[in-house]
Amino acid sequence: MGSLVYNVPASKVDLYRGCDIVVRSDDVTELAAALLRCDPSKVRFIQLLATPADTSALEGSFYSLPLEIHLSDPANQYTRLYDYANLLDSHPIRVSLKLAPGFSKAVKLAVSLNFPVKLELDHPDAELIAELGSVLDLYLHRGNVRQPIEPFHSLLLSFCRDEPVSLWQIAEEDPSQVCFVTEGGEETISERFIDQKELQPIRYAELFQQQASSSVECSGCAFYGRCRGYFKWPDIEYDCAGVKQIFATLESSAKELQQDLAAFHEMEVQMQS
Amino acid sequence: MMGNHFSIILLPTNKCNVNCEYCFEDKTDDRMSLVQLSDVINKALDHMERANIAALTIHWQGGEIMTMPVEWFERAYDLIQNAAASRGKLIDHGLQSNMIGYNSRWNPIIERMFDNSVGTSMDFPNVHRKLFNGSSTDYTRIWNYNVQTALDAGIRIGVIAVPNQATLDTGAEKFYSYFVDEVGINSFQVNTPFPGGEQNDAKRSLGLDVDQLGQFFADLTDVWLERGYGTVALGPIDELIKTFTDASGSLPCIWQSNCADEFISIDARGFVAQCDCWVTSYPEYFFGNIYETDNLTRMLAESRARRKFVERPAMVIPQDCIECEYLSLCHGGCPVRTFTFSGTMFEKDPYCHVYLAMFRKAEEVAAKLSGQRARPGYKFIPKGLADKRNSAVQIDGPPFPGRLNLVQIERR
Repeated sequence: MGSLVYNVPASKVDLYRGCDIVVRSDDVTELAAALLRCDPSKVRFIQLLATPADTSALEGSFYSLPLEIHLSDPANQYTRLYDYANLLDSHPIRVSLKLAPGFSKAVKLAVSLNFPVKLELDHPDAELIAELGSVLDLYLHRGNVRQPIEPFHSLLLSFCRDEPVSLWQIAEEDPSQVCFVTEGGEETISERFIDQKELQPIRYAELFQQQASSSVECSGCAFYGRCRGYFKWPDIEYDCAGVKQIFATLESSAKELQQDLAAFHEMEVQMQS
Repeated sequence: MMGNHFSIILLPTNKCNVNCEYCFEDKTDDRMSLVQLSDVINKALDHMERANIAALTIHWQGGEIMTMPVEWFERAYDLIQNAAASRGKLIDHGLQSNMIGYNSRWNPIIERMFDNSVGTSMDFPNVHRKLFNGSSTDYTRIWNYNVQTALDAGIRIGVIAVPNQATLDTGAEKFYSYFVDEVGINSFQVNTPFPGGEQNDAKRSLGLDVDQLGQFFADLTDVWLERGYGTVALGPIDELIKTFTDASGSLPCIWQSNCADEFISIDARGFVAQCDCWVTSYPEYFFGNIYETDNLTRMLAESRARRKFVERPAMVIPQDCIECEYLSLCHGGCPVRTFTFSGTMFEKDPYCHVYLAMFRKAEEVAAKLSGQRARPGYKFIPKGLADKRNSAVQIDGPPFPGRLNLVQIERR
């Protein structure tokens, strides 16, 4: 089982004793009960897959254990986030959500309640790309957004610092780091790979490379270093024009930031001398 | 349900010594005994233990708090602090009084229990605050005298002011000058009026033109920037500017994500409701009676009336607030203002346009002040990088003076 982090259903935590784990469930009580059977130092975070009104089983207990609230239907679930604002007093909280029409409302409310956000990009169509663009603008330019929105945040830092990063890592789908355990106990990379059962997860890394390198769009793409074919799996025909525009906006914003910082440092030197 | 801190707006008396026309409380002569207070405190501490809440702030008001004997407070303070210490909990106190009944006998308990500070209320011009003889002039004269006496005794005074039509007609300059230059106050907060409680002509006249009120706040901001920035606390404008500058602002209860998460109010009869207006004037919105329950936590969890407050943001935000660029600052505003103007709490705050004007003004001022501090070359800091900003471009904190512990309640 190595140093992988296993994302396991609460019902299967006993099978992964000794491993670093993420525990997930749509039931707060089940999560709390599973945590009592775990070594707390091995639990990276817990994942709540539904939006129940009553989270009292987690309030004031398992103090400082990070919690991810997952919205599978963000446009209809987002107002439930108000129920979790006070959990911030006892847990770091992140909201993860699927890109579905109207998801930007959930992002906006989540950051308004001081929740960091993780977007599950998958294969956004033109409508979702437009909505993604509006969320990127919110992240970059609205003064009241104080929390990271991933993957924008990590990508922007990467561009700013000229540091390498992989979208697979940011999305927590890098098979060298994470392993998703299905309800049936099968191991794969993430939820979107549940149907890809014929290969062991670690083999996907090679397959990504092969598939991406066979894509003309990837081989000529300026952002391949950070994307690494993320959007070409499993559909190699996916048109990346929209996501490339998102990358381009992040890159140009990073350049602008670098210029501002350089100008500031230059002025500081002048003032000191 | 409540986080690690919560507040109680405690009304140990429902009795008042003045007759303000626009008061949103329907008064009674009820007073809380020390035995009843002990019951309230023990049940509050039980609730804190069950909900893992570490600290409680009690905002003392009435009725009028200074119709209670000083000696009652001396015994109440010992009772509360001993009870809190025995449970390992922290309780601190804020005092809100009209100051009409103030005299120097209050000074020792104000120092000991309330950190030598008092929140009070006055308007300029004073139109609605009146004694029982009907005189607003006498009210203002007595208030002025007592506030001066308290200031001379070293007590810090914060004032809540509610604008009326005469305020708007007189203008921000004279309003500011009255409190700061004439009275000598360096901490005041401007609240918006609302017609709570039993209706009368004065309350029917409380609705102000929102454009005019928005302009008043903008003008007041300019006056304060020119004359009081750094020396005078002017809520909620100063806290809004801090919020836009570095997210350090502490905004009043009307703009919390949900006031139901922050506090409750308990009156002298033991009734529990969302805040002082609800607990004195709207029985259908009582959560229950604390004297009649052995479990405050269960009462709050099971109250159908409280459920409405808990659910309000989720009901209101999708209407149009979700499209607002200032959603994070306001969350649909104040339930009681909405209810008293609209007859339902499930709409956004009727002062939406005023708040928008205040937010825009505060954002503009914050940008200007930050730009001045950041020096030329500064133009773009991605806001998501707030926690990772290079220290070289950190904006120096503006020299805001400390705020007194006024209601409306600020989040801890």
